[in-house]
Amino acid sequence: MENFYIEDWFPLIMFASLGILVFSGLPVAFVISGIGIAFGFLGMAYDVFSFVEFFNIVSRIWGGIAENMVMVAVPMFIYMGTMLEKSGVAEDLLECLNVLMRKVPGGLALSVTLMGTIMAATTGIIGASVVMMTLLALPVMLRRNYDPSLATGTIAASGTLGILIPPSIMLVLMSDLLSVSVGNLFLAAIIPGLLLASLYTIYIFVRCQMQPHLAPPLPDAEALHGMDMVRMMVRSFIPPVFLIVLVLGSIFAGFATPTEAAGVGAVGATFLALVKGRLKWDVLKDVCERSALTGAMLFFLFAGATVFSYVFRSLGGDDLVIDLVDSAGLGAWGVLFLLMLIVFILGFFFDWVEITLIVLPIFAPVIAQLDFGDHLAVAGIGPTETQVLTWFAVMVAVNLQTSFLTPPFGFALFYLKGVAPKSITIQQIYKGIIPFVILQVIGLLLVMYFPELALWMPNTILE
Amino acid sequence: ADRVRWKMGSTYPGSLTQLGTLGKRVDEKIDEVSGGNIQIKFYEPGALVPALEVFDAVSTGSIDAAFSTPGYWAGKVPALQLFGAVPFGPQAGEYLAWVKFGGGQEIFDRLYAEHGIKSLFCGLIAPEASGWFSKEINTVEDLKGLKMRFFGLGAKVMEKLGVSTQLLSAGDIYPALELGTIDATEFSMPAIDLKLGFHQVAKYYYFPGWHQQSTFFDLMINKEKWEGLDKTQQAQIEAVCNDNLAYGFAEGEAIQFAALKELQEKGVNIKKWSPEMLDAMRGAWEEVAGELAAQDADFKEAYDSLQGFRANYKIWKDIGYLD
Amino acid sequence: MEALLKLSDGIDAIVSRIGKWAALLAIPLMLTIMFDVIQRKFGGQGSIKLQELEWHLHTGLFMLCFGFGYIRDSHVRIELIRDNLRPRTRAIVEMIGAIICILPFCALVIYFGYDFVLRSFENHEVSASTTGLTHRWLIKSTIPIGFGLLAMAGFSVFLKCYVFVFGPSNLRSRAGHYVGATHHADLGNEAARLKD
Ligand code: NA
Ligand code: NA
Repeated sequence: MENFYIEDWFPLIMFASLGILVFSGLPVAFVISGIGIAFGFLGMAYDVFSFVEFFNIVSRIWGGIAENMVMVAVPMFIYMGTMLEKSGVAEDLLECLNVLMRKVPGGLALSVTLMGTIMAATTGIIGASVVMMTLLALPVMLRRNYDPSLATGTIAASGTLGILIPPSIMLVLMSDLLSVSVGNLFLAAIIPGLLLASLYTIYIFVRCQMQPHLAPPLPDAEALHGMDMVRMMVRSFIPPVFLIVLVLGSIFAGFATPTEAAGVGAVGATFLALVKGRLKWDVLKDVCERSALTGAMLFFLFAGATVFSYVFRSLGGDDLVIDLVDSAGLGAWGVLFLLMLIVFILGFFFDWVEITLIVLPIFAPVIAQLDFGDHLAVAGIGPTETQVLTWFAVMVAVNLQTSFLTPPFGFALFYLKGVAPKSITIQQIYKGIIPFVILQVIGLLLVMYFPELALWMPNTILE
Repeated sequence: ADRVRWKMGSTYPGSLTQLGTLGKRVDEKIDEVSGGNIQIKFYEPGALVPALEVFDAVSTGSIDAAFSTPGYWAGKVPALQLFGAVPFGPQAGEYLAWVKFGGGQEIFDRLYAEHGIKSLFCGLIAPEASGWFSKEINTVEDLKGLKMRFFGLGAKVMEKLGVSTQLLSAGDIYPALELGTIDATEFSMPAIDLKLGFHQVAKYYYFPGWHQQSTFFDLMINKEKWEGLDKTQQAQIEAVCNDNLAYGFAEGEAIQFAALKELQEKGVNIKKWSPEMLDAMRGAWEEVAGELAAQDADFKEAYDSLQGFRANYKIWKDIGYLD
Repeated sequence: MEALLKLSDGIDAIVSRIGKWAALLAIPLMLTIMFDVIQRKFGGQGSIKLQELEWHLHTGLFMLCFGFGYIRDSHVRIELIRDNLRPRTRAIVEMIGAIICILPFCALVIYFGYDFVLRSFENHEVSASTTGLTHRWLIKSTIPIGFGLLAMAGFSVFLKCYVFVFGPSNLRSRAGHYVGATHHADLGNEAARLKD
């Protein structure tokens, strides 16, 4: 019998402590970093960590968060959202959509899903899109007596589509780690991304049809007719359409990169406020301040998470995961299912970067060599390694998108909670996200069962 | 001797042909060569520290070692760039001759020692491509206003020729090239570029890679930890790195033509710079090198040493080789 | 106790003042991006300096607001259990949290961050892309400064909670900023804004 060393179990104990202490009511980011550091010191006491290794925390905060050009989009999207809220543009739009879709069950929620899908055409930093959509849509939905769980679930899930639908920083990191073309992964993720958006849409529609009290339709009294309707549409549609054209247009016309488009949108939102006559120095200051506070919340979560996962890895947490898979002795499908399960469970606690770093480098080569029979074969020709890896990467990507939604550490849920009105409780958010997590799992299984969902686009366009 | 259990960071993902696989090879070989006495565990970029933070991390000892290229430290120790790759610089044989026998090694050791790092040359690869362009470039005039993603010494040269250099986040390069936000990007060599799919968004692939005729990789080790090893252990690590030099060079030479053939089949226009273009770029580089030497004494020392060696080497090169 | 509360308010004022200034960096950030996009399209010289300026502004923006965020209590919490605790218990938890979670983290980042900045300063570090911005130590120094401000905020929160728990009852309302039920994200909350 092997000797028992408590230090071998530190990574698991870290998980457990996090799962408990996150409910202490202290700021989540403080808890996660605090546990990381506490276990660093514990590791020192057991000689499996050294003091100087804490230096890497600074390197990670610097290199991973500060000197990271893609992050520049985050404050800009938050600013854009805050400014649109302040200037009333977003509210006008949603109210108008509400009136227009008066007869459609869950009309507002469906608009939110559409908005998330459109926003996904930018780089797709979840924090930015979830915060923006929460600021814009949640107050309107609540005022219209939407069920808080349905409203928050819709926003959180739709806001995470951007990390899957290209361009996506997550797919870029995966392409790096797998050394496969970004183009392949981008194309491969499009259909699964849209598939998820459709699943959300169907779910919202059916659920609201069956339980109308979750999304009360507007009373007929609020219906508008004739010229009133047209006037309202013009007034409320032109500003947001202008903004969407500005953001997406600047990307597709080759003016701005997907990251820069956020800055262009921020300028656009300021311009709209100016046109509406709402732009005063006090307003601008207030928007900046609230954006900065939201940004600080977001980035301190990043910082806390980076501390936790760094210490977890330094204490051998990766090896624990690797040994688990190696020792299971499974066949091709068994390995695949186990890996997906592991990614799903890791998703309860870690952010996607760290999970990607644990899972892809070690297991992708293994997966590439596994024999899935004719499952991936196209017209009788066996799959290439690139095809297997692409399929695998897309499944991991869908799975990781889910990790933003799964409690206790669903980052999308935190972002939402961080800017939601006070009346929204975490229980409501947790409850609201469950159906969407189930939809995610269905989406994942569909991609697993029908590899064409991922492979059809790259096979058709690139080969 | 005491067993060694080190953590090694990397500036390249382990799956990346040559750049990453050579780093992982160090991990595997040192285990075999030392009979398990020395373990140097490869960590992906970002797993312990972000790629470009490995220098400070090795220097403080917060990681033990890192696999990288000296070319990355332009911002910290400009002279080290001359040990990574030199624009219009020597090819592999001459480059190796300079560092091992022409005075390069001494300067290299001193530059790193000032930062508490012992570094071993640990990989050497074939020329890179010059880059991917979305349109044909025939004259120096065509370069003016061209928006190109570029990194390092080459970027300075391109700016002299009127290129508008860009520094995009990794996620933006691909869509930016596809949608025309930028017109060109440098990347790596055919075998790597093929895998990464740049042919999907740019159709012109230019050679030779004047900015990187041959590239050194190195294994940076925290100096105190290196000095804590016994002679056998040091010799084992050195042997693995020397083996890696030969292995990497041979592999790099062997894998490019198949990739070029495949790229050609995929409809990529493979182009060579005209002599006039190369002359213009060489002129710009010499200007840049002169400026850098004037700014930084270490750079000047290393550059003079290299140029002096090359002048002498030419005596042999001109007579000893067929062309 | 009164003095402790005064001290805490003083710290809050400093940290908030800096945070408010840093928040305004969003404006030059937005303008820099817009300028870069326009000048690149209409034939400008290299953009590397501008693109680096973008993340410099962004880094200054969020680093210097960590402390401001804690003072305004905008860091997200899960109140599931907290809502059922007595205010006094909440204050004690917050005190322990500030001491165990915040201060050691800040101390480590300040200690190693100082070394990190010093290395950059001594090497005259410039952008690794050679044509970018110089004086990298300046922006790197926002790390120890930002965490210093957060430590100050943590200390201030600790003082308030200490006064709430151990102080006289007439100071409770002034010290009770961090013990309210479901206290989070006072974004846009008028009361919070008027406070400083
Ligand atoms: Na996206
Ligand atoms: Na999660």
